[in-house]
Amino acid sequence: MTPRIERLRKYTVDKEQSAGWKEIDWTTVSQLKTRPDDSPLQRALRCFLAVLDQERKNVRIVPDEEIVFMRSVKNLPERYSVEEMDALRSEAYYHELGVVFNVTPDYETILSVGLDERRKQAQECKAQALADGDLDGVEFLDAAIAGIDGVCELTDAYRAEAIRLGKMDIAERLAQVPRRTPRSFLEALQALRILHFALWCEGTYHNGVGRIDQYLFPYLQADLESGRLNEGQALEYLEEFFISFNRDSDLYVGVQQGDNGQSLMLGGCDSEGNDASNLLTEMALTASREVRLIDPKINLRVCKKTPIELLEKAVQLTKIGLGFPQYANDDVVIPGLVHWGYDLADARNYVVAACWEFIIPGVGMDIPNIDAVSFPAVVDSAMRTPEGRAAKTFEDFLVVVRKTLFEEADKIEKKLAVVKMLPCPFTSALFSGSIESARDVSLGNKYNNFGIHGTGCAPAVDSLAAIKRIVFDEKKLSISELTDVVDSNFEGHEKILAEVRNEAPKMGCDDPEADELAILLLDWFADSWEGRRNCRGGIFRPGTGSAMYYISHPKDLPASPDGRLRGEFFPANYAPSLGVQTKGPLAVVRSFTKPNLERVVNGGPLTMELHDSVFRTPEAVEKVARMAQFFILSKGS
Amino acid sequence: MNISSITSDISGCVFDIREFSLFDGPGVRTSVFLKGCPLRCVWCHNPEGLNALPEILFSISKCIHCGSCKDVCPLRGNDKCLVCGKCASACPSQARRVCGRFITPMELLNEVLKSQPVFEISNGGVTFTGGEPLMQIDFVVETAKLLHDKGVSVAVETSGYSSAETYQKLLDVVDFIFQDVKHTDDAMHKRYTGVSNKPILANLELLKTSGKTFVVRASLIPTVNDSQENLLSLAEKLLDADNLQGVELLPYHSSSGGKYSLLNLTPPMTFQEKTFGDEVLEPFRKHGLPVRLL
Repeated sequence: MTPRIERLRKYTVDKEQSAGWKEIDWTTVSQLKTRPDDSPLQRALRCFLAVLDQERKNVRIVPDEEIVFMRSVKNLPERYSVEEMDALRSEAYYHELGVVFNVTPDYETILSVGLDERRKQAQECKAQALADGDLDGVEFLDAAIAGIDGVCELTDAYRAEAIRLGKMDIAERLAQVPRRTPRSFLEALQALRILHFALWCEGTYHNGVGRIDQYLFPYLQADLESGRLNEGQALEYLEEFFISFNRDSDLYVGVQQGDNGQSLMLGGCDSEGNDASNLLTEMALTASREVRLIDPKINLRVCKKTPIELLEKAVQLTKIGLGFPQYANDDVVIPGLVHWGYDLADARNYVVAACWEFIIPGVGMDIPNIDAVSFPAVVDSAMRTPEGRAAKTFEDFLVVVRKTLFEEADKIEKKLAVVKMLPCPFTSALFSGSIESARDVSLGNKYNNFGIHGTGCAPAVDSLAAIKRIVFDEKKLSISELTDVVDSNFEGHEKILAEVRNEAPKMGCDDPEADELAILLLDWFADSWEGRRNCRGGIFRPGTGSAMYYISHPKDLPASPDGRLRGEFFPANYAPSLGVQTKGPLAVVRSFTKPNLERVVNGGPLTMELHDSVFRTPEAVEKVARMAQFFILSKGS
Repeated sequence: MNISSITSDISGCVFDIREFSLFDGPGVRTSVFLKGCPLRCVWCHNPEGLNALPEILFSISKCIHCGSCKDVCPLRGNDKCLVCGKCASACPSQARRVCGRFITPMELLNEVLKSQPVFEISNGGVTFTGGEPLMQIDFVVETAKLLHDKGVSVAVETSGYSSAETYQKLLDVVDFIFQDVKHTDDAMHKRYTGVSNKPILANLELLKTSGKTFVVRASLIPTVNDSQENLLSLAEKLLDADNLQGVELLPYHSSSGGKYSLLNLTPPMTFQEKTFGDEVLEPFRKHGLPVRLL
């Protein structure tokens, strides 16, 4: 890092930016007074413009900055009162906060045309909508145009401040972007910063920035080839850009610190399937490693052809302990998405939503975390059914488990019969097709699929293995008796607890008996969702992620047959049960790559933690990269 | 080679098979920890490898005092343990476990071959360590032959404490050697390890002329063997070895003492941890020997 970047980093880490944050009493802001004829779009737009107004009053450019825009508004206005929102929720399912989230806009296109061009396009579409008598379309396009204007006005305010401070380079860049096409790498970064910033102001959250090494590379390449920039300067700007993600993140929505979904995706293939990693891929890995900040979250697309040198670069980033890069395997994800109906070119362009669910930038309006199935709860339910209790063989019992999985899918599908989102006209303007179709992206886009997490895979598999051993192989207890044992939290049944913990097969130990059950369970999970259509015209995509459900799902459960006591959590995402003595990371990889992950590719990473002593020599870094390669070749996703 | 012709009654006593070992030879390796060691180094960090036979490890912090172990013990916990393992199976809190099991070369082969795809992409293999692999030389030799037959490279980490004949058997079957040297002075060696270093230094000479690639490893124990005199003496013994890949110095860590309590033992001695710098590398560097601190 250069001294300038060190200073910018320190400013951010020391949270000096928070001195400028302002808590707004939105009840006093006249433009937000509710009117009886308010439409959801008008509410969304007025809230967005009110935030931009406030931001215009508090423009800040700090010393050393080249890439500007910093939040000052601490709290966003609520579009609806609690009572109003309750009324909306009584008529439809609104996921999480009810607004659009977990999205990645089509930054490639918007950068290449600029907001002026997008505004012009919206005006043309509005004329057509008027001609067609499409009043909803007119309302949306008016809102999108007003949103674009609001962002440009805020840009003008920053430009005026830059001029006041004598920072003419910044002023010149803000005269160009985001209105028009960036003329340089730095202008592209500045434009991206503004657009990303604006999404948060609109209330859209868990905003990814997608494949920056693809859509920013032409700007970098042009600068390098013309000699306007050298690689060192480019890295410096990229590092400043990365630091900017951490400026406002304390103000963002999230379950826990850092859970704000500011993810980006590196590497992977182009639309023809060729390796698309480039200089900017490596530069982004280096920038993240040097800056050592939690945002943006780095994801790396890999495949069996990924060069070991790139994996080693990635491991160098792992080494500093931020918990990324997260790997996504093209060899599994792309066929999985194509199977679900994604066009091949779109599938090849996948990124992650906030966490690890796979979405397509600019066209994906999937809700990839809309609900979750608890596998241990499915096993528990199966034990309590008359058919489960009467099962004569383990195979009979598994039939009941499979049936219960389908019943869970039925319940969720019914719950999601009507799903709505609140509109976001500016965010929509950054998506493909919204302006052309004169429809807010909250109403849908090319892909409108629902992702269903599958939580506690390993404890469910371990429980099935324990049931097989205790009930059907050794015949020590009946299903009913084992149900009583788990209901007693194993109290007074320590011998059974010892046996299921110590003797029964476990997922993550490369044990064929346990792993065969995992293959079955995930296949049946996929079967239970195959062919169902959701209420927005999409499908359901099962996955192996847990998100926060690894804490909430076990709260509703008694102990499990695998020896998990009441109150103990599931493992996060796709990982061995807590406390299981595995045989090391390779055995874990072998176990967790046996199921056909192409069928459960909504997302859900195999989560492994390595002690930092593992990375202490350069050879060891290469060896960890080889483990990643083994995971890829084993068709982990 | 006909594999069935070399499966025999030989079995080894193994206390751990650890995949994904990164510091025990080229590539990603599986380390096989063999029980039994003739040395009694006072800083030993694998005390569960000292005894040649299986034994019970007990973690008092995990014990919930349920009495399940005594209920199943054939001796009711009142006589010398038979290491039947029933208490470990019955323990609901996993406070007890059996350390050590007998395994045949073929069984070991089948276990370690699960990692063969990783061996292949990383040029890795299997490393015998311990304990002291030389104490189970026949088992090591037979298993190494099976591994070679499958194209898996074999390394060993050894104290070198054996007869020349035994050591030569080892040299004949391994591809890479980590040779420990605890001290170059015989009296100090005896004081801190319980045995003379003469067989070790003699075997070191054998190793130097064997053509087998080797690394010398030395634990740096403050006040015992970290003197310039000892390090210089070690460096001088390595001067004429073309097959020496380098010297690795491993600073002492007191945390390893934690394992002793599992065996109801106390560490024989503890030392003050020390941060080492270039001063311990210099005796080797001045002779042009590749050296690093791990």
